[in-house]
Amino acid sequence: MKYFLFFLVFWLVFSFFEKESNLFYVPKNWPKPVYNFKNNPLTKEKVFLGRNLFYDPILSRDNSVSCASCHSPFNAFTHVDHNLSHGIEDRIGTRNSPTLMNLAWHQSFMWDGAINHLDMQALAPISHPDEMNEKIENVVLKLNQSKKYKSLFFNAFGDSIATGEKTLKAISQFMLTLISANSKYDLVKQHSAKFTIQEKNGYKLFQKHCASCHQEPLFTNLQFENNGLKIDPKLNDVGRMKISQNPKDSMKFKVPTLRNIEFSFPYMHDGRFKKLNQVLNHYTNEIQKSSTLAESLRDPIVLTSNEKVDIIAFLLTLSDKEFLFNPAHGFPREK
Amino acid sequence: MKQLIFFFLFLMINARLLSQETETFEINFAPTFFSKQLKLNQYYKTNQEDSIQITTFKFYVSNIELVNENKIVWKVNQGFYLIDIETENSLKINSLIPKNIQYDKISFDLGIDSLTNVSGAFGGVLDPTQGMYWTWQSGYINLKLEGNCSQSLQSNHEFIFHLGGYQSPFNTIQKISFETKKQLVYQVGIELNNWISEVDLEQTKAIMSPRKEAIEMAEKATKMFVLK
Repeated sequence: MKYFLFFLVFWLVFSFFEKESNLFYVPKNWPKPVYNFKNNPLTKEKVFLGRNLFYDPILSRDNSVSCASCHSPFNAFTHVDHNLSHGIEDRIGTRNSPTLMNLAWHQSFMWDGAINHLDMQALAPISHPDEMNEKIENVVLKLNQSKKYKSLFFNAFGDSIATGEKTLKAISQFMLTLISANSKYDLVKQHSAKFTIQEKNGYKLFQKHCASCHQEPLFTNLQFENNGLKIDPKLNDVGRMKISQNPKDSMKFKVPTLRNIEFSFPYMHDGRFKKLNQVLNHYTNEIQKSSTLAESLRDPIVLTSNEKVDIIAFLLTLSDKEFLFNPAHGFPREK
Repeated sequence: MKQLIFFFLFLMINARLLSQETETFEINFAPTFFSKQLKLNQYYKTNQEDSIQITTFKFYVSNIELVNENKIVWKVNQGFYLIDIETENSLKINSLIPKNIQYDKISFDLGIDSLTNVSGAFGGVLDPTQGMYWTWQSGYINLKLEGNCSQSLQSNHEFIFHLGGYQSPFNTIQKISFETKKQLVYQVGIELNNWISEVDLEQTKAIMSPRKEAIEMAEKATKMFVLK
C-alpha cells in the first residue's frame, strides 16, 4: 500500500511536469485561451502528425491541394495574390482564406462563424467542392493505407489506426502551436523596444478609431461586425446571417486579427483590397450606411493622409518575423 | 491536489458501483412500414397507395434516462448510439443498470445534445466519418432519412431529410418517453409510416440545415416510436 501511494504521488507529480510543454504558451497579459486542452493535450508527436497532415495534399480528392495551399506560413497562413481562394481543379471559392494564428483564443471560425470548434474546422475545407472536395471518410481510408501515416499515428496515439477524431485533433494540435506574439508591438509592450514617433502617433490613432473592433492583444474582438462594405452583387454574401438566419446579422463578418497584416493581403472577406491604404480609404470615405453597420462606424472617421501613413506605420509593427519564419511551422522535414 | 481528490472520488464511486449488483437493460428497435419489417431499398405502399423506397435511415439515440415518480433515478453516461437501419447490430442497445432500481418511465433523446455539439471531435459513433456531421456548418445530423416516393413532384421523386441543429431557436433534438413498468428488455417499434404520412412528400424535397422546418419535421418524426 505504501509503495502504491508513493507511486501514485510520483505519477501525479510527473503528469504535472509533463504538461509544462513549450508547444503552447499564453503570452504575458493575454486572456485565457478558450480551447479545451484537457480534451486534446498537446504532445510533440501529435503536433508533428498534424503538421504533416497540414502540408499533405492527401487531404484533397485528387491529392493536389493541401491546407498550406491556401494557408502558407510566410503569409501569416493565408493565401496571397488571390482575392478568392482556390481549390482543386482551379475552382474558385467565394471568400478570401483567413489567417491562422492564435486560434486557441477563438470561439468560432470562418468569416461567418459557421464552425464552432477548432477540431471541426478542417472538415469544412476538406469537404467543400471548391476547396478539397473530399470526404473525411475517404481521407481516413487513404491515411490508413499509407505506411508513413501508420507510423506517425502510432507515434502520436500509440495506435496506428487513423480515425476522423484523431485526424482532426492532430490538425488542431498543429494549428494551436501557431502563436504570434513577438512583433515589435509586443516588444514595445514589454518595454524592450520603442516605437518611432510615427508609429507612436499611429498607435494613438489606431486606439481611437480602430481598437473597438480590433481589440488588443489579439487585435480582434472575435465578434461579427458589419464594416460598411458595399455588397458585391455577384457574390451576394450576407455573412453571418447565412448561419444565424437572423436579419440583424446581415453583412456581418468575423473581425479578423491585424497581426501580421503586412503579409496577409488581400484584405476583407472577399479580398477586394490589395493595399492597406485602400482599406483606410474605405473606412474614411466609403462606408455604406445600413441598420447593421457597426456602432463604432456610425460617425464618420476623419483622417488626414499623414495620419493614414502613421496608422500604417503602426500596423507594420504587428509583423512577427519569428512567427512567419519559424521552422517549426514550416513544411515538415525528417524529424 | 484537486486531481488527487478527484482520483480518490473516482475510486470510491467505482468501488460503490462495483459492489452494487447490476443487470442489463436493453432496448430493441424494430423498424417497420405499415407493420411490415422495414428494409432499405425495398418498395412499400403509402397511405395514398404511392410506392416509397427508403435508401438511408439513421439516427442518434442518446441520454437514456430512467425516471421514477418524475425524478431521474438513472442516467446512462456517455451513452451515444447510432441506429442505422442497414446495420442489424445497431438496432439493439444495452447498458448496465443497478439491480434494485425502480422506475415508471424511460426516456431518451433523438439526437445529440448541444454541449456535445460544441465540444470538438469525438470518436466511435460520434466520429465525423460516420457521415452524421455537417461540414459546412458545425453540428451533428440527428436524423437522416433519404429515399424516393412516386408521389413526389421532384426530379427522381427523391426526398432527403437531414435533421439537425443544436442552437436556439433551431434546436431539433427531441425527447421520447414512455410510461412503463420496469422491464429488462424493451421492444420499441419504429413505425416509419407514422411519420411519413404527416409529411407532404409531393412538395417537400429536402431539409438539410437547421431551420424551422427541421424542427417541425423532427417533432413529426417522434411519432414513429412506439413501445410494444
